[in-house]
Amino acid sequence: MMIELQNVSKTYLGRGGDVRALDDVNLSVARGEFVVIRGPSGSGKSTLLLTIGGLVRPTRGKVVVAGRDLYEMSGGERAAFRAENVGFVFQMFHLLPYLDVLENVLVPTIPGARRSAHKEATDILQRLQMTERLYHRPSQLSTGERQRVALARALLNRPSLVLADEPTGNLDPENGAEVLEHLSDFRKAGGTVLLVTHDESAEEYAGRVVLLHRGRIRLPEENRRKPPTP
Amino acid sequence: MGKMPMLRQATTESFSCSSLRLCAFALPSFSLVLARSSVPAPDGGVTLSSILLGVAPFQWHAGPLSCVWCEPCIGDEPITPLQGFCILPRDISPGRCPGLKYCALSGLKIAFGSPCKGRLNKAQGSALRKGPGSRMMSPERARYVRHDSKDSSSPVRMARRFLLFVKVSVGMGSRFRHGLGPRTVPPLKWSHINIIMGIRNVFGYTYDESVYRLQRGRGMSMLRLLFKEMAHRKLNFLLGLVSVVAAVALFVAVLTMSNASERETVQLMRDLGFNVLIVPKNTNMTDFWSEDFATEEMSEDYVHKLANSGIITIRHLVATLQKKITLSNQKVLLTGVLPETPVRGKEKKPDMGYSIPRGKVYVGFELARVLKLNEGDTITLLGKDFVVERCLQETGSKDDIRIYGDLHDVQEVLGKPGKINAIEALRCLCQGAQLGNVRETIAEVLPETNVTERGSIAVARAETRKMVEKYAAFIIPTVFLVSAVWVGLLSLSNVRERRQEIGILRALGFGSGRIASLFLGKAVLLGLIGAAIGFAVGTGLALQFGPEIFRVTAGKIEPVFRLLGWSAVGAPAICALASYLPAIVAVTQDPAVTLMEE
Repeated sequence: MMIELQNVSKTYLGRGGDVRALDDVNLSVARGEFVVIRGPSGSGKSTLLLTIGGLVRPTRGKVVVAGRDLYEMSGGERAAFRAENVGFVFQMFHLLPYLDVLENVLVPTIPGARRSAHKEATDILQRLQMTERLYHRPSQLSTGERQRVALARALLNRPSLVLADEPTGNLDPENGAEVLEHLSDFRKAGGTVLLVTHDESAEEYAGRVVLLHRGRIRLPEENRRKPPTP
Repeated sequence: MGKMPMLRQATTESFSCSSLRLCAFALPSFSLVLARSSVPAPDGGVTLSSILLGVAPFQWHAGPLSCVWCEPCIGDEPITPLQGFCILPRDISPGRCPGLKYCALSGLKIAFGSPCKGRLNKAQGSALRKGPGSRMMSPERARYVRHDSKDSSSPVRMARRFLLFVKVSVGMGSRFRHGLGPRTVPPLKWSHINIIMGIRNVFGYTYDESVYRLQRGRGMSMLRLLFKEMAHRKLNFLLGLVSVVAAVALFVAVLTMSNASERETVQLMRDLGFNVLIVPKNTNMTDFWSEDFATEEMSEDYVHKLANSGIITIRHLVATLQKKITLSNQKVLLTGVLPETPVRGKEKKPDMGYSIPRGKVYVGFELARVLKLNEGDTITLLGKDFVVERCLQETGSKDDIRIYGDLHDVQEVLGKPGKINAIEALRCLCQGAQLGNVRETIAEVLPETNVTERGSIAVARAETRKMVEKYAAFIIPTVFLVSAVWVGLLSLSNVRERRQEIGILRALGFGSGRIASLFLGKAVLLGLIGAAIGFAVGTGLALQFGPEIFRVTAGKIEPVFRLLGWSAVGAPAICALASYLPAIVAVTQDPAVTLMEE
């Protein structure tokens, strides 16, 4: 299993009252799966994604990714694990405005610099048809291009898992489809994709759709499509 | 050799850099030439390696020109190393010339210059272009430059060339920044050319290796991230920098001036002579001032006791025994002087008093004139003969009727062995010494004495200096504190501004240490840059205004380089300390909150 959540709950404490973002979630995702998580706003999708990414410690439960219990690790170990195994794609791209495209893609290599990073980055960007924009700042790019850069950044360290939070949320259908296509390619190459979205078209690429409502999985293990090819 | 053969040779031989030496190329009407260091400028041009990052050799052609093959732009066509040169006239748009980059990467020559002033006719040009091994070029794209023998080494010409270089470089950078350069290669900047050429020169790598090194240079590192961020948020950085520069400049200027002030005070005090007088306790000071010597006596041991007492506020201790005697019906002040007694624990300085050999005397000006004494004469003092060692200059004081001798000689002739009646000293204003009440200090060591301090401008000045130092001791830390708070606030603002960035860096695998180092590293860089600029500014101020304030030692005011060391350590440390809390805020920030923000 790539991801295994056991009785995971997350409660945000606040002055206006506690908010239960995840409520006793159990979820298993096999390696090479493309799983779409859908649900209304505030259903806990992003919290679930960040919990799996090791960025939000659950109030209760166990999160195992690639065979490692994330929250048994120290913060430093978790960061290193994230750098090595997990790629993030966000709706807002979150590119660093002062770096050009190539530098943005190379940022994940800072913690563990390697000699081939530059070539790998240009190769990925070439695959994403961003070669002509290598030295442009994010502000000079279209939203579709920004998302492709974010995707390239997520893929640079060859993660085994990509966590995508509404990656098509700000894109037109054409660009959205392109991003999903790239995620699908990643899955075909053996990676695991967990995608949180409102976009129903994403289900076309998914091997499985999980519905989340008020922090609980309503239709666990529902298969809308054929299982993914290994 | 005529012009044509030389041109032909140049063209055909310019495929390798080394052939340049044979061809004796020179490019006076082309402004600058970047060349490999292994190929000296044909005319022995000046190497200005320090320009351009200090990496690439940069040779300035200042000699006469013979010929050159000019290839201003080769558009989209592939070019081969055969061309050997890529020369850009002034009116070319560098961004449209991929050949320039190619030449740079290939380690070939690059030159900038004015549009060609060819004097060859078309036929000659055509013949030249068709030389063996030469690449065919269309006449309108090939240009030839011929030598005109103007003096190209004049400062005006050199300045023009440098300005041109800057202009072209900036223009080139600008074009590439706007995406007008080659598309699949890094933007052509002078730094790239220099790095590649520098790598080739220094390490002797091949072209491919050099490009690989360049590409590695384009990789990301924390330092690059820091510099990029600082360049992006210039205002934040500049505001911080200004405060650090101000604090360091104040610190450096005050301490440099203080050094000058101290030197001047010491100099003044030395110039004014002994300013502390120690006489036996029961001395009648009225008699003393009228006679200029004490009638009472004390033990000679007092001077040794004082010298060994560890008092650091006085130095140059001179014990004297004086008596009024009559010599050939002339009243004489016979003064026995003990050579300066070294003060324990203090570095020996040049003597301020006399050191007179036994059996010899120094004679005051008036006495020597009246008694017609010359150096080498012998005089008899109270039955003992002495040789006149020196006749002193006129002083216009009682010293003109003095005869100075060794203390022990004078003690002997006066029949007062082991006795003195005064100790003169210089109140020391050296570093570490406190201007306390010197009388009390000495009285503790020599209770049987009376200490008199002679007032002086120098003492007043020293007091003023101490007062200024007291103020500075308050103001400098205050300025540093304000600066630190300011840097801290700017850092905090930076953290708040970069919340999302922190979140995404967390997601990308940055641990707490790396997140903290984003801010602490920036603070350290800010401190280092601020220290360097602040030292320059502070020293500049001190050198500018110091000589006007300290006229005596004006020429001795100089940069205090140890302050640069202190600044380079202190400023980054203070900046890092100031950014510590913001760094903690950054580290403890919940990435989930910012990443879920829309």
